[in-house]
Amino acid sequence: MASSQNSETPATEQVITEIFAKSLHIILESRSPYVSSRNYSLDQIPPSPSSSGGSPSTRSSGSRDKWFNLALRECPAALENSDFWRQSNLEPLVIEILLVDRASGTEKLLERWVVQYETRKQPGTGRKSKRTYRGATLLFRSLYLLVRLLPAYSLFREMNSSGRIRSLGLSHRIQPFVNPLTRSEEAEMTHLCLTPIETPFGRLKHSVSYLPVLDDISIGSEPSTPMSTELIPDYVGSPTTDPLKRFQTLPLGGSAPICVQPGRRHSWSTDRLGSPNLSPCSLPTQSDPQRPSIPLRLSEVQKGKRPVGCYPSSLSSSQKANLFRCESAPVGRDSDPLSNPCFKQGMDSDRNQLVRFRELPSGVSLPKEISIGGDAIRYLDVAKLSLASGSWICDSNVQLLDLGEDSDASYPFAPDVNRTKNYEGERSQGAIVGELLRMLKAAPKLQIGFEKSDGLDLKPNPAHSGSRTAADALQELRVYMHMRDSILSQSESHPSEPKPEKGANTKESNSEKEMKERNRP
Amino acid sequence: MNCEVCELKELVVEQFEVREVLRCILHTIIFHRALGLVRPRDINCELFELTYVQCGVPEVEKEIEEKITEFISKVSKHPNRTSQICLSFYETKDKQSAWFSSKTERVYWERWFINLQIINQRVHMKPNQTKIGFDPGENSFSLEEKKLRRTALEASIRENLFQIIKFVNEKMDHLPHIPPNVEGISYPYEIAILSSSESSLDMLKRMLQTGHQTTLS
Repeated sequence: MASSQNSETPATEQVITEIFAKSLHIILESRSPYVSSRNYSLDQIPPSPSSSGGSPSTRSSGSRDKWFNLALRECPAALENSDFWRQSNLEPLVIEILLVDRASGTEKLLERWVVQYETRKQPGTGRKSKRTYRGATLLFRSLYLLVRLLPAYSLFREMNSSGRIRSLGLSHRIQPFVNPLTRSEEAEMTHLCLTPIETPFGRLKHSVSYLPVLDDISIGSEPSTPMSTELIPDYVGSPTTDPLKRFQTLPLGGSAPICVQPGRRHSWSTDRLGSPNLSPCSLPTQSDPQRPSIPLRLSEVQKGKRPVGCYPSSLSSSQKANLFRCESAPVGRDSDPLSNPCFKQGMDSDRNQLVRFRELPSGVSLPKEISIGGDAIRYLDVAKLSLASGSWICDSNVQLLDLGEDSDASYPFAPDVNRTKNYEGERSQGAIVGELLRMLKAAPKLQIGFEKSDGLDLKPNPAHSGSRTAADALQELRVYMHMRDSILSQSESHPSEPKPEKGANTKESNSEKEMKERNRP
Repeated sequence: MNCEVCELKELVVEQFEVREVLRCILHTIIFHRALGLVRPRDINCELFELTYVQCGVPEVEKEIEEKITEFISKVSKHPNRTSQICLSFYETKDKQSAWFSSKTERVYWERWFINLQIINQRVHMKPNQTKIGFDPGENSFSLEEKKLRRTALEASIRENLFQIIKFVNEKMDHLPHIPPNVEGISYPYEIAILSSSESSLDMLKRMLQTGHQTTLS
């Protein structure tokens, strides 16, 4: 770096250079959202020819950190922009913080920081570099706090904490000259100057012009897009589209979840199997801390496995509805969910357990993600989705239908064949789910030990039964009936014993007949 | 040596806000005076949309927490008063007396006065509190009032922080020499709790507002 015209000592020059670098570091550290600079390395920064004491960039970041007794963590944005943008300390450092609208490409100036070294024609107070260093130490304490007090810091925090790509973003521009502000910018901005740092032959001034109010530039309420996803306009249940429309596979770095937004906050729409209150997924925003972040869940998807599945195009809403239910929604048993091959054998009684789905029939395309309303958006991560094999694994914190539940309990997604088409030609969400369930029933190999059958009848497979299921119950009933028969036969041989009622006998024989019919191949 | 004094603008706080407010201001001042090597820690306030900076020295954090606890216990006994906390920076100097004994004395070169007016939370009724003739509408009004008060307090705290920045930037000639290679705190300091008694006018005002009989313990 060329020496200043007023011949500051080399030590002072170095201090001045470091003041510029530290200023850049402090400002960008709190204005540049964490973007991936994974490939950055110190070697990529060319040494600055203007530095008299050796380029600071070639020194380790550790020694730079401790300048002015303020140890800062590494800031890739600052390191990338250090040194090579300026030729001498006489050029100002101008950092503009911009709010960028990615959709329209417009920019709005939020802040402009200016660090400028001014020389004096005559030596001023004759301060040594030590005093300059101490003055800089004091200034940077204030600067470090000041960048966190200004309104743009709130935007920065919000963007960093959510980790999402929003339509509005923070950007910065560094230049070695000061562009005059427009009249409107000048009028609406507030200006602050910190006390200059005195040097033997000049002084360093730090100033900032910033927008004092950013209320009209709130990003908290704007619909945000999860990182590496995109919104799919034709979501399941959209009134303008066929709800059975097949959805394309979401790439891992790709689309936004298809959200089935319930009408009510804590449950599915009360219109059971009616037209669901489906709307584009209003993704959780930072303002709602209870809502989990969908990108985080997407990142949990194992490599090579598809993201969360969609409802299959050919499934009825009732079938789909049978797969999941919200925590608050009652769940009942129905013949369809009983036969649902997707439920893991021996379902957890704890309704919040993660569960797995297995062995879908081939050809079933599932929705990539289902968002179920409630206190938080619950969704499914498909750890493994293979449409060809027809198997998929889905982790979800939604409750699953309990096979052992009372069949009389009503639940919003009970498959109802009669209601697959509630309206003329219109298929409701419940119908889609119901159809899904029917397809699942036809699966050849069922995890919970139900064999494939042509109709809705089920055949228990004791070999696969690992825990108590309906098959076990039927078996047990058979045993009891056998015992009853033996007791009856014994009672016939002993006429003194009372005979059971005919009606009960009839009922039991009927149930046994039904069982036999079911067991018939 | 000159002792520079900075009187910060008074803040009206509720009791549950005292800790957060004092943390914010005390840490900010000490951060500006901890001129040894520090690794700053950003702390996001829980009650306010504010971020302040700590110097990252555990002993400082511990001492501040203890002092705040002591302050809260004192002010809880006497609510609705203006209380002060004084943060002072000093140098120790050996004072050689005429005789063979010598003693050290503290020479204060900077004092910061933090003024807090603690308001009584019972002014704002909660739904689960029973009161004869409780008007539900009054509770909704107090919620709105609380929100406004919280916003105003946040702005006042921000103003205090700007006041600190302005003060430390304007006055630096009185700072003692910083020893080389020092880490963290470069100057010794002390935190003193000063509470002023409530003025009679303030007491009368409060009684008319709340209608409660005041008892002083």
